[in-house]
Amino acid sequence: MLTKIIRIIAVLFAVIAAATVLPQLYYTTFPPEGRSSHKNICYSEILGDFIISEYIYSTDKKQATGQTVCYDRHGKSYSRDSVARLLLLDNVSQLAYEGRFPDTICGIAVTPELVSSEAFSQYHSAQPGLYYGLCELRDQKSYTTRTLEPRDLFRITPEGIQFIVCATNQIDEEKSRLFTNCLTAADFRFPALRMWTSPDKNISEAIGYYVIDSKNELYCLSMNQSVPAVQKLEKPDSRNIRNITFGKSPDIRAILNTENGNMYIQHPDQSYTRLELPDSLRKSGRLTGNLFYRIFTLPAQNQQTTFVFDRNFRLVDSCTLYFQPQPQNTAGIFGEFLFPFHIGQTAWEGFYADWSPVKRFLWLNLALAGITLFYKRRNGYRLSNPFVITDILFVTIFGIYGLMGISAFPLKKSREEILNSQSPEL
Amino acid sequence: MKTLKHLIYKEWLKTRWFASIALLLNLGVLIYIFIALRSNFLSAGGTIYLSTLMTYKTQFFSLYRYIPLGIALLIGLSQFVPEITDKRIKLALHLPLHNLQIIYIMVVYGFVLLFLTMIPGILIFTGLISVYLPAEITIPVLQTMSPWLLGGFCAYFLIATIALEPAWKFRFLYILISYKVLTLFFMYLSIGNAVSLLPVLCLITGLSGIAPVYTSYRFNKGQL
Repeated sequence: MLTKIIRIIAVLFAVIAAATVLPQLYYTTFPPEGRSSHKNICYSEILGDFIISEYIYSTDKKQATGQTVCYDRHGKSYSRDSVARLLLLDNVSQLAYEGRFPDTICGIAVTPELVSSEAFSQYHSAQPGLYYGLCELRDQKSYTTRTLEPRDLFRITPEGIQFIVCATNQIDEEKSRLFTNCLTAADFRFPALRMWTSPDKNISEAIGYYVIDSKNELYCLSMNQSVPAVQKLEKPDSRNIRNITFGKSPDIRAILNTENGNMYIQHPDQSYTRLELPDSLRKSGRLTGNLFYRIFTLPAQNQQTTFVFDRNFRLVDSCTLYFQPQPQNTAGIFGEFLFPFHIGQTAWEGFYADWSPVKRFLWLNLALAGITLFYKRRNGYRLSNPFVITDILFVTIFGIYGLMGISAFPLKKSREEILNSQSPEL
Repeated sequence: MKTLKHLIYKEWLKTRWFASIALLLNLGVLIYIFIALRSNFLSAGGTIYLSTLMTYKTQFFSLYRYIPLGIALLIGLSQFVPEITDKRIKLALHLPLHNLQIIYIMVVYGFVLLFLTMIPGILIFTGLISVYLPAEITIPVLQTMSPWLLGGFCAYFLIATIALEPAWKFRFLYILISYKVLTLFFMYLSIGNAVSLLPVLCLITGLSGIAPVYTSYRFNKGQL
């Protein structure tokens, strides 16, 4: 019995291995013939509408050529030249080079330098990254003298904050006591659950860290000329904070996600504006900005939605762009008939099993299960044996992988089955 | 009890030199990694070195990645290849003990030997790096090395499973499956990123530990 149970585990191992290797081998041998079209979306400050550019490939399979077409949401086409004049803020370098950059846009006097200085782009993840719990606190005046350069790292333990001198790996007791007292005076409850700072050195020095204490309250911790500076901050709502990204634009101090999926912009005066976005839980996006707008792009499976806000973060417009799935060729369709699923692994999703449509692989699975049933019966296996039934069930569910698994680890016949198969006349 | 001692002595005679080489290899690589760490730490300065480690999540110990696998191969092959040559294991299986007991005395012996070869080195390494690195870095380092160590144990169990399989066609299939299973243990992850994967890898290692029962049964019954 033990051997047979171990065999079932081994068959499942074989199924996993086959579901990882076989589809990979198949789709490498028979790559998809078609090419997916590439789309981009921009918001025209002149039109007050979106312009979509799409690279359409040639239908000639031998040549990977194509052309870019531009159109708006209503299907109206635009030439590339007219698009450059409608998207002035996105084409500033080219227009300035050609001497076609205007003096005013929407009634506002502009220069290429002003437009460039207002442009920024940053990524905001809804999920916090890998966290060691050990951070470097830079002094706000560290650029003035080398004596203020950090020589330590800090952690916030249940007992208080600890500064570890890197050279000796020892705790700086005096500095630790000074900061612990300052945090305690600000009603900080040890330990810290999470800390964030900006990857930009200048912002990191100026703001320091946003720290969540054990009561889920938000604090700002920084250091000015070796003196701790602690400030308790208001939270955007009653929910716990999930992740924080610091802003790259002067009007955005930070972007905060709360546990219920709300996203907030924290302004330099520490006031908050809630972004009118759909539930952004587990979604990451890109925030870009220009002279007139703040644009948030949230990608999803085969689509992306672009939200345009004005400089006060009031929603102006939004548009969802749909990407056609990879064009299916004969090999792709045949693969869905052959493989019920494939197992893969990505850094952001971990392990995943991608199932083919059931109506495609079901027929082959049933046919293979029928062949297995016929083989078992012909070779004298008792069909009421639960392990024989398990084998047939494996083939029905896992198809070709199940068949390979049960073939790699053959089922031993029972004594009765051996006797029956050796003496069929009895 | 006497049979047990004889069996263990037989295993020791087969594996002692290979285990000694494995022990030296393990210690040598770990001490080399520590010396390199210390050198970089002192030349770059503690603050910059630790800051770089945390920012870029550098795997300063990546040289160790395949060492547990190499040790498992050394011990596993030295233990089981002599047994399957001319099917010598059949002599052991005629001892006055249950076949499963005999197989598991061999497998547990190999597991303990593997453990004793790898773990002291890891403990010494942890002690040494703790002099320079705080716990917030040392613990993720050990978490990142854990899949490699588990991979070594899993590889040993799979070697035993493959070695005891009587039919070459199945042996070949098991090698392919083992290769795919073992790739899970040696994925390129940044420091501390392997934590969520560890329970799955522990489960796979545990399951591979009972796999030799299946093939040894087939070996004993002579099923081809």
